[in-house]
Amino acid sequence: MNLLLRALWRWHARHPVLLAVTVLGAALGAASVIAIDLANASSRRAFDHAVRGLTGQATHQIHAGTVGIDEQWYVDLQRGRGGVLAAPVVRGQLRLHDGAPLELFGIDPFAEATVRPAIDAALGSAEHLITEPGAVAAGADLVARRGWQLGDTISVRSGQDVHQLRLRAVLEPRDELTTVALRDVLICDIATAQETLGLLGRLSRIDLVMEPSARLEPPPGAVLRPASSQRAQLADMTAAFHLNLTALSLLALGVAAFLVYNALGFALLQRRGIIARLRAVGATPGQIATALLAETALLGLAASAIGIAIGWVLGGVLLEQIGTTISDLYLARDVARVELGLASVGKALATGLGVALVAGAVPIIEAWRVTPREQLQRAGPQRNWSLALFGVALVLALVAVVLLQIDERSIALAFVATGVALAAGACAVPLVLRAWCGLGAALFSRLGRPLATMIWRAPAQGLRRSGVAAAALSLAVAAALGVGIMVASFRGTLIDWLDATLGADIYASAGAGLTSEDRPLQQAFIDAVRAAPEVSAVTLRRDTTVHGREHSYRAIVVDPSRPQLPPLRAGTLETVWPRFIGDDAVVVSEQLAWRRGLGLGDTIALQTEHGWHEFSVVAITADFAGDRGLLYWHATTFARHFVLPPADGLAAELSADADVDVVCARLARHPAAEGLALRSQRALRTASLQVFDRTFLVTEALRVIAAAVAVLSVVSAIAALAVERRSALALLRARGATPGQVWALGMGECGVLGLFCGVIAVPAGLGLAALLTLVINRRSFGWTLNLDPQPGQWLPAVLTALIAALIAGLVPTWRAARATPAEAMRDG
Amino acid sequence: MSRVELDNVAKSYREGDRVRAVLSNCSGAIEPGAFVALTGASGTGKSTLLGLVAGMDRPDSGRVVVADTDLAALDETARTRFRRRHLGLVIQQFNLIDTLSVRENLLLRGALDGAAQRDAAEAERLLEAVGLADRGDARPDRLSGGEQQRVAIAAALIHQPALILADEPTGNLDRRNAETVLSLFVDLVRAHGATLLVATHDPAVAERADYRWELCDGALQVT
Amino acid sequence: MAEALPHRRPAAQRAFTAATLAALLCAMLALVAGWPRGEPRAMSAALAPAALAADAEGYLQALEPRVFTFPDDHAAHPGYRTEWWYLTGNLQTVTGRRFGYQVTLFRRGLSPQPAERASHWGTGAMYFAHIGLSDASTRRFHSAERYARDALALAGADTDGFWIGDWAVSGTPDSGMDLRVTADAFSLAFRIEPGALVLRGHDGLSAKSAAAGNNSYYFAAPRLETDGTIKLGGQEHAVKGQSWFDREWSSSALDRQQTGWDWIAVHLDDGRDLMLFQLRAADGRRDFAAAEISDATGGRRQLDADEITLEPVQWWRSDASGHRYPIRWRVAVAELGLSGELRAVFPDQEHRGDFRYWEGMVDLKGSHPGHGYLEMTGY
Repeated sequence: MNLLLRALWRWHARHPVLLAVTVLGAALGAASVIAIDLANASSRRAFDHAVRGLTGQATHQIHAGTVGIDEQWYVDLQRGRGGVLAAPVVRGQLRLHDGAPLELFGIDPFAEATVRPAIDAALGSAEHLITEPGAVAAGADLVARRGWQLGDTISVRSGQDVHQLRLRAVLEPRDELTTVALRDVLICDIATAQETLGLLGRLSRIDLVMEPSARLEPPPGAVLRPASSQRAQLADMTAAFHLNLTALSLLALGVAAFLVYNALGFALLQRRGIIARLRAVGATPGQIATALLAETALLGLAASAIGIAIGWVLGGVLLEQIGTTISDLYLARDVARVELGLASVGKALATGLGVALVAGAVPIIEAWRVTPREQLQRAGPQRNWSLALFGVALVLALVAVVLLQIDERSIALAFVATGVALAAGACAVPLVLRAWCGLGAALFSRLGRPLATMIWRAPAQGLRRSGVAAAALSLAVAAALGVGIMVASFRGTLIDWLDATLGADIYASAGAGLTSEDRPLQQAFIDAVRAAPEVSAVTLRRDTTVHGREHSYRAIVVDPSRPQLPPLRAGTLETVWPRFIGDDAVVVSEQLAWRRGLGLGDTIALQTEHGWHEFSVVAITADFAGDRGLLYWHATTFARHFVLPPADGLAAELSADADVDVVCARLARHPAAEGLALRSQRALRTASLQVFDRTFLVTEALRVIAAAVAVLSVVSAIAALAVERRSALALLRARGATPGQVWALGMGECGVLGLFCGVIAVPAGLGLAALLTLVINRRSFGWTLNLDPQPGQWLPAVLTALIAALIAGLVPTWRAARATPAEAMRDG
Repeated sequence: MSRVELDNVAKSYREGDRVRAVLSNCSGAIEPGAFVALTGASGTGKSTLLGLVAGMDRPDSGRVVVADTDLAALDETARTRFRRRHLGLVIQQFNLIDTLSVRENLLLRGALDGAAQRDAAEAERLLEAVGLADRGDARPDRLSGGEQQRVAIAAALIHQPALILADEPTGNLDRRNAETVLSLFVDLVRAHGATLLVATHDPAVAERADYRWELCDGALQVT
Repeated sequence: MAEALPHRRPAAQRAFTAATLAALLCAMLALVAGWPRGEPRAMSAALAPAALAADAEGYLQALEPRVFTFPDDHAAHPGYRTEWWYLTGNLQTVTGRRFGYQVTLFRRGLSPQPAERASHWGTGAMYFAHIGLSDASTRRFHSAERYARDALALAGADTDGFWIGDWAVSGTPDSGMDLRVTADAFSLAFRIEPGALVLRGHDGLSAKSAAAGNNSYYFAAPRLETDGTIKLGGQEHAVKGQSWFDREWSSSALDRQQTGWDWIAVHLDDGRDLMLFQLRAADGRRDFAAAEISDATGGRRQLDADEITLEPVQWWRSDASGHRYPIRWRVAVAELGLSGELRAVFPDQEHRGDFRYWEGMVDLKGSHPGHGYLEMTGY
């Protein structure tokens, strides 16, 4: 290390705690970004590979309509038409005994070679799969994870049914794509798949290898799509979800940047003397700046390295959560482990380095301007930037408002606007802090309390330092509060919706009840429910898929006998109902309406059993069952155009005097209820909220990280303040203040600062919550959420800031108070 | 050896809304090898004048010529380089970098030129000369005031500058130490044949000078 | 038949019939040529060798002579492990441009007692087909293969014909057949006139090894007038000629020491049809040989195997696979006074699908000229 760098760096070595806090804070900020990036990328990759690996070389796919494709259609295709390379697929969701989801992927091995050579090659010689009912093959990875042995019986649940499958082959895929694709998949013969999934006579999908020019008329109700569209749809579905997580991680990074800025700014201030002497000796400004740049880069790299380590671990934890969420919301698949690729490491290094350099830029520029004259003469009075910064804040706020107006659908712009708004808030902090301190000082001065006046004046005097610290702390607390309010508002809206939607007393479904992978209910069970004396009404639900020209839609088909719909965002129940049961009408959930730009009176063209048909949108409903949106039909309307699939869900209303739990328990004992999720309204509501809470676990985790970075930034800022204040406090001791008085004074200053941050964080947090709830969520998912200010969270936020500041000030203040005036003054 | 020439130098500072003129119309010259004591009451601008001669600051008007170079005409980097090459500086607050060892402080100037070991032998010689041969690895803050100032003198002489500027070199020292340091300083400077300009209150210093510049109301009087 | 390999047990002293040969084809494919070059290609490829493994346990055995009844015996015989429908033929256009073709459907049992399945896809057997087209004028050979399970009529054989996907031969050899096959490179559409059926071996039961109990049921229609069109490279060719049809089913297997064979079927210009073959041991020497001659009325005669000469005269090396095949043979059958040379019409008629073997059109020159097909495995 050269002498110049050494001269500057040794200052850090003398303040190891500050250095550690700075590096750790930056590392945490970088870690949150890295973790989310890794988790996002890994989950995206896992899902993409899963789809792609099982698509193979297929160029097109025929997707089944409401009840699958008639297998005879495939036979006719094979026998009637040469030159079509086609492979039938029967697939569906299974659950292992511990509830873990697995995909059962049934294929015709004889048709595989041309369509899925990788799977075909991996299968090798596995004739048992064909001749033996229930025989399955699994990837070596899954087999190892599950501890299975060749020949083991695997008990699985498919809807209500329990099946015993037998592991007859362990696949060793040769490429990574297939390995990932097979992670949570059991491969079996198509016959076994039909039998296990209860899809006799039906195919889920036909994969085709066709010339682009080839034409093929799909069977009724099914659509022919390019094979890539499935991946595109998945990517489209989860993009907003991933973007939201990324934005939240950037928030943590932003707080970390403040921390680094604060720490480096302080370090510079402390070293102005050294720098001035170096300049006097003959170091050029460029040499100083280069040395500082090197030092900052070093710090950034250290932060990156630690950030990568933390981020990797954290990413693994988050990935599990993200995977669960995607499983809950989109499709049930387990997610692979975190892959730390070279690209991720590069990104991580760039993040840490970038944050350090950006945050360090201002101090470095200031160092550039340090003149050797400071050595000979005291520096002139500090320029007061707070007013100018406030002006910047106003401009930024204006920019944020304008950004929000430019394109009312752009998620990215909304995030940029949110970032700009936060920056505006941070810029406003110094002036507001000055005003706050001025008010307090004036008050206590009038009351004739000089010590208290001193306390209130202190932060305003060291505004350059305290302003940054206050901005960092306020920002962090505001972020935590804002996200908290958003989540609570969301939850509140969801509860309202659940209460409005869950009108029946008992709900039954053969799956998780929240995905479209449910299996049919047994007719015997439906009959048993209808026959129960307490049951006054039964509504059946069918969860299926219909196809438009570009997109496929989840369709919920219900058959309530009296007017009943989820809460409407547009349209009224009275006017909608007659059309809902009478016309070729469909009700659209608001996410779908937002996503596809649908409004009342618009039409959706769908592939029905009788060809293309236009359905008009008669109402838009609130819906929180997943974010991709859905179409609602009444069964009578639906059955006119589609084959009505068997019911997979049931809602029963009981007579007023019936005991829900008793009836529920009795129905659960019915033999045909085996394997059903049979829940009271209350239990279903709880289960739904559990899924919601799970979904927001990642959000909570990021919130905690942001808060941790905030606490670190306060520790760093207060420690810096304390170092600066040490000589002032020492002077007080010299002038006769007792250690207790000095301690009280120091803690008072911290308290004033912390209180200020907490108080200012409340409006800032509310603003952030409003942006997240009303703008970001709307634009990302199409949800209309009610903003609930959550006053109950305010006081804790204020206390958090206050306590954080007090804790941070504890050690430095104690040191200052304990020091003898002489040594304190010499240190200063 | 280097001649110093001030020609109608003026310098003022902004203090809030007011402008305070520190130097006005200062002129004077120092012949190469001379020892000049710069005196004047507190606040008369001694440090300002030294800063101008050291090229750390620019006059509002007038010329500061050192070794035939008009410092006012150079940009910041060029002035810094000039200072690094031609000037030695000894100032009141011991211009030592307390994050570097005594020896490192001496080697710093070479390091800034990209040749850290250039002055290694000279550093040992100078440490010997100032009586601190055994303290090379010590940190400046472990030394006494007198020792620190002796290191500062050594650091100022390491590159054999033509002009040495000193600002109250003995200001922080007790009488005895001050005399020892001053003698050492002046002897060493003279041995090097450098020009010496010392700002001081100390009559003892002024006595040893070849002549005095006295600052009064922003102007120079040679006595 | 009393002719025997001198060094074999008396029980083996009977001529192999063509049925044996056909059974050997598949077994050979498994033993010798079975695994394709490089990596195992596919499950579909891997299945066939599995099905061809020597274990016939649980399957019906061809132990006693049976009464053949038609048209029922044109259909598949589930319960036996192996069965096939084998068409080859030499055809030419009016301008004399010559083509040879092969359309073969194999049925393989995957399980002797298939499980009862609720799914229509459940099966205990599979079908696979090889087709080949030899174009003598360009000396190009085209081939293709297909697999399907024995379910949902994706592939099958009944009294009305046999098919796999849209490759189909409808009708029976004694009532006439229509052949429709379309591959990427070519397509065939033939009308195959009815011809006499010939039961091979002892009234259709043919022994296939020296060991007792290894028999198969076998019949053939050696000479079937054929005309139709061949589409190749965007051109359509009207062609006429003769086809040769073989049918066999069995569950038995080869002896281990046999590593390959050479099989020849020739329409002699004198109107008779000659079939002869030899099995080779690992050292390349003949392990066994047999011959049979028949005429258009169904009359037939088994020939003294010891008096058959089959010697390679010229070899050809396949650049694609690196294997060598004899493409000229010295042929002599003492009993017929036949002596001449059998020549491949052109060298490269090698199947390079999941199974590698040589099957193509040949000319017989010499005392009894004719045109036919030669099949060589194990090289």
